[in-house]
Amino acid sequence: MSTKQYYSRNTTRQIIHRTLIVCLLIVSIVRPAIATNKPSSPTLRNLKAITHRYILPNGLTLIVREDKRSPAVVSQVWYRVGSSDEQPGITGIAHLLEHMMFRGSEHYPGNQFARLIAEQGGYENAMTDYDYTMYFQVLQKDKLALSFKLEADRMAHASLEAINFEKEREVVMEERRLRVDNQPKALTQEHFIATAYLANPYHTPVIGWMHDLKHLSITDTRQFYKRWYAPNNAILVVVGDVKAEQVLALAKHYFGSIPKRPLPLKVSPGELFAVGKRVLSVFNPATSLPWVTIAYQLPSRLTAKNPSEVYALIALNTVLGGYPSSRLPQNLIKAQKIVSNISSHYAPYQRYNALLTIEATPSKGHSIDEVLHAIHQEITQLQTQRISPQELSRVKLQMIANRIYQRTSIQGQAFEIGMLEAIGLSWEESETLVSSINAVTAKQIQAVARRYLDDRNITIAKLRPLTVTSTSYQLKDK
Amino acid sequence: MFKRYHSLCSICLLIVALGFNTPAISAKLKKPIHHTLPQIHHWTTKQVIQVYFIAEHSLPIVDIHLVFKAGSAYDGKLPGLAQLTNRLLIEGSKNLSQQQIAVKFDDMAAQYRTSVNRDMAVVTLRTLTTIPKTLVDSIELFGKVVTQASFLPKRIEQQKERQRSTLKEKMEQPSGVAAQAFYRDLYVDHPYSHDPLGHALTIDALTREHILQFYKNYYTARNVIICIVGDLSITQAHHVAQNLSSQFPIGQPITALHKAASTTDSQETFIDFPTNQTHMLIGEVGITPQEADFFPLLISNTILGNSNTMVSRMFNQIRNQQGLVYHVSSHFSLADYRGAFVIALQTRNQQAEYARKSLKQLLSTFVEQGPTKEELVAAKSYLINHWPLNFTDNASIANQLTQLAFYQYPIDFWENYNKNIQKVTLEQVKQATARHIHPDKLISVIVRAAPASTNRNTILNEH
Repeated sequence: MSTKQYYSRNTTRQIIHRTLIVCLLIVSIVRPAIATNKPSSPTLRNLKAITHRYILPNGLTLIVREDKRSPAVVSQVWYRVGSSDEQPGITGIAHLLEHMMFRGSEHYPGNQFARLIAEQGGYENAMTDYDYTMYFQVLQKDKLALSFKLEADRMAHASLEAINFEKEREVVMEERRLRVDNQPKALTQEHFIATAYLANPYHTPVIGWMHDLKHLSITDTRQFYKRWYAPNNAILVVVGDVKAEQVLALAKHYFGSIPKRPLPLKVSPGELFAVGKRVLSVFNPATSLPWVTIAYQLPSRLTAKNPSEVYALIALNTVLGGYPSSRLPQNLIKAQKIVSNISSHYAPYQRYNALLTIEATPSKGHSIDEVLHAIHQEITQLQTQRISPQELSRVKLQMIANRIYQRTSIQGQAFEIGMLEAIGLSWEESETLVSSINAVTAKQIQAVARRYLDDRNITIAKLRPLTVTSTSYQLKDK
Repeated sequence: MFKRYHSLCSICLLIVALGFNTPAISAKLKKPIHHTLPQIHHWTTKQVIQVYFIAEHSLPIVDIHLVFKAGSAYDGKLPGLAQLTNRLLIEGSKNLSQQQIAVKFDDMAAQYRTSVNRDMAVVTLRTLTTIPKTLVDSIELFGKVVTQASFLPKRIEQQKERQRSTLKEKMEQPSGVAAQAFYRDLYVDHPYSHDPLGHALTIDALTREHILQFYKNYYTARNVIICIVGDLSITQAHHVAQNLSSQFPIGQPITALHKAASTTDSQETFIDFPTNQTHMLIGEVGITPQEADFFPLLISNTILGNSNTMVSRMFNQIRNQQGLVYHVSSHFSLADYRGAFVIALQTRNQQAEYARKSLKQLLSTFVEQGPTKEELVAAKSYLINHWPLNFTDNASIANQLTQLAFYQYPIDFWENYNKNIQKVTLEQVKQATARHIHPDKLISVIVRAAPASTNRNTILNEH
């Protein structure tokens, strides 16, 4: 998926993922004051003029952005369902269904879907998250119809055959072993998230608990598909050098006849707040480096009573760790030298409450507690002293620039549109976000720091090496 | 927070595992007839520095890549030196502290990055072209930072510490352990054999003198290529390139290294690790970028184990039909002194031997019989149609350009790509495959839990 190019070799995947979201959202901001100095340059023009939104009679939402720059087109189908819609006992079902969607549909059995896309040079994948599941293809711009034809067939007629099910479940268990079980940080994070979100549906990892995966059945999978995969629960997003009217006609042709279905009611859960600090200690035999992560529970854009607080929190997160000379990297890595890596993340664009997380690797000779103390000092600083006008404008400039940088990718644009719509906001949030963020003041940042970055509202996980006496791990330190 | 899951394994896993930045021919080099590919402007500056430029005016940004033949292969007896030197380039220059540099770049919203693989050291700048002063200032700062690095002892010590930490983190994962052992076994005493991060002990041994010497030897006009992609006119690009060029010392020519020797015997290394999943890397010494069989092998690997599609033989048989893995793929990596042919897969410990047998059988059949006619047609169609999709945004264009420039492909390589794919015959694919893949001479590294392990902590036990 589009996150590919943002991976770097020195950072773990989860950080990158989170960073991407942060970039897409937080940073998708700000009217291009910068760009007006050069009127000849076709920059961040009004996206409303090139973005078209339609709703088909069967409830399918279609959003098309005409971006003439690229020889490619990206087509994404979003379903407003993810792991946060799972019940206990069948965790991982949303993601396993996503895998099964690649195992054929009525008119394209077996791996014909993949063959047809590959033959046209296309690139495809899918992703499952807390609140949504998304399938995409990137193709040359004149091949969009192929994507629609195939996606429409699996929206209405996925085969979900028992004969493939056991094998695909094995694949997913291997995925879990690869991405979680044998990655000390990811495994820690799983426990950490479950601790930070006690009653919130994000408590459960998207990939599911291993013991649940072992019991999932094809019947569970079919039921989940029937409940949630309907045109009125889907958003089709197309970005590329296309004409919106033509895309609409194509969408009607391929998706128009899929009947609308009643959808389950989503009940908003609550969360258990602040009875005190939650601290988790994890020991892992594969780890040689200690690592610590902390989270404050915060409102998301959708749960906030006052959305302006969310924009202030976005700015606060940028102040902390949003760019190379921001406070955490500059003060803790470069000046105090007590951590070798540190980053902060806040993803306000999700259905339920969000977290602001900070994660750090202490440098040699420094303890996790020293690092926690230093982070605490940075937080206290934000609470007691307003940031300077100069720093505030640097933060905003970073956001403008990243907005421009982000626009280089059609996949990044499509992701932003689809994700906002999938959680129940309008894609135009990314447009208004610009002025919302520009309106944030130093006073507001200080106010949200005081209100939310409270020690009673914190979860901490400490990952430490488990001392192993055996000599069998000799390679580890070489 | 980690919560996003994909159906198809991302190739990034592979890149990390293998340590070559290039996702290899399997992933990256392709093209069609009908689409206009970006036009490359190529010239040399007064200092005889090669410049490659592509004008791309749709967004007000420009990417500048300075590419040095200064990867870890040039570490000599000091593994980790190339990496450390490269990382220190943003850590202070004559008259400017690390913090001053960081703040200046951030105040201009310019992004500065460094990276190293076995062949190359790269320093990149991404900046906005909207405000003339910002454009000029950021490029000027970029030039200073790269050519006047100060390498202060304090910053050296800190970067060493961070490099050790990165290395440790890599070795916490079975994939990292496997990659390190695989390259060691594959390249033996060739400079590609060590990890670009170095080893804990060799990082300790690095001194400021080593770094200064490496910097003097490799960060020179003779040893750099300038690649520019973005919103500049040709005149502006000439100006930028000339300005950057003039800041480099001419330097001495560097000594080319010898090519890696072919793998002659099969070899298996088993490494015990606290893991519930066995990681395997299997392969042999591969090809140079100028390999005559380049296109037949590109097609061959697309059929065999390309990780960008869900239709390779490996994906179909090992994953779809047998459900043994989430990720399995093969690729030929690009590298000056012969890259690697590598197969990677991960599967739970209990079925690792079965998976290995299954993979070996697949490979032997493929090498003996070659692909079918239908597979050839489908692979060509994929490669040709996929080619323009490698040029959809500035970053990917810049990456393609860097590969083309560094490995000295002809300037019309992109234009002729399609023709070169099209003319490959079934027989050529079959022969090239047999020439370059030897199922009886493979290096295997297998990282798994110790048999009958008593070390498996409860954390790693499945419930």
